[in-house]
Amino acid sequence: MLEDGNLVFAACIILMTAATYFTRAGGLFIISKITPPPRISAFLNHVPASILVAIIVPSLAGKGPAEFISAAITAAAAVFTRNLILSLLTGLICISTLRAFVF
Amino acid sequence: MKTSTNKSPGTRVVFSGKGIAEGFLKCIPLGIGVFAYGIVFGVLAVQAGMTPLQAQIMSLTVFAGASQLMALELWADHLPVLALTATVFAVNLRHLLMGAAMRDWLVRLPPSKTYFSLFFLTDESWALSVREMASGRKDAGFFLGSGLCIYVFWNSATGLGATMSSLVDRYFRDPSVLGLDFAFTAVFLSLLIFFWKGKSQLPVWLIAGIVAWLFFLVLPGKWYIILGGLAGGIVGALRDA
Repeated sequence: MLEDGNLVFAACIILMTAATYFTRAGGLFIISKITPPPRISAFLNHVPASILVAIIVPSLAGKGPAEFISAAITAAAAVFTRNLILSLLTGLICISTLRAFVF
Repeated sequence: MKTSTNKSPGTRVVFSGKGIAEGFLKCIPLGIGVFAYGIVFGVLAVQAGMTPLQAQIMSLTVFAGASQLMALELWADHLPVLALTATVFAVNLRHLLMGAAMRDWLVRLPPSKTYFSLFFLTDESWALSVREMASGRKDAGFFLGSGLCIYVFWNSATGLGATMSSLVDRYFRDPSVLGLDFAFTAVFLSLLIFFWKGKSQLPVWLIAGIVAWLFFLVLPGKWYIILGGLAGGIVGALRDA
């Protein structure tokens, strides 16, 4: 019984690992096998910032004023400091303060 | 220190121990955020019926935060192996696009280094690395180092959460109490700001945001990330061509 359970668990882990590794390596594998035409290169040049936008917008959608204000201040900190740690700390201080005392 | 050069002239890419160390160190703030979610995963995994060892094995091999948390929803006495695999695959599809976007570094390395480094690709280390790549760093070791950093934090947190689940559960359940839910938004937002080059990017970002938001509302999982990324990329490609 336990043996069976371990076998199924092992199969599960192997398949899940294969699935995640395939997605991690697959994109680069494809792009390394072709010489991307200019249009594909242009596409890929816009992907990083687009993905960042795609992560950020839904993470803020439906949130409240504490998150919006903190996001705005974090963005301003990033513009002025050009430093990831400083803007992250600014954002964290801002969100904790607003959540604790204001909203 | 190992160093390797690329094939095409003019754009040398190296892969050094120094780069790995820098990537690791620069990623530590993100690792701390990941640590908090790793604890949550460890606790929930044990509650879902996994042994601490099984939870640890999953974090060491599958190594995908959102996918692992989603897998817990399906965890049962009789494991739905194919459903679990399909879920993990769908949740992680966004990494196809992220990996391809690392081409300026990774196609110029020996395949062994490229495909070893890619095992450690995460949203957080990718975002940090793609920014370093865009700002002109030529040491691809950074990508591996930042990925290793997330790996160490995710796995140590899984172990902690899984072995001390009853204790941890009493005191630490919700990362939002520390503002840690917002930490990732703050990091991604700051990195996005660093990508700003001028108003010409606005239409691309706007479309990416709208598409991501719409699909976030109607589709489960993380489809919205890849679809927003695709939409922004397509708009940019159509405009630049």
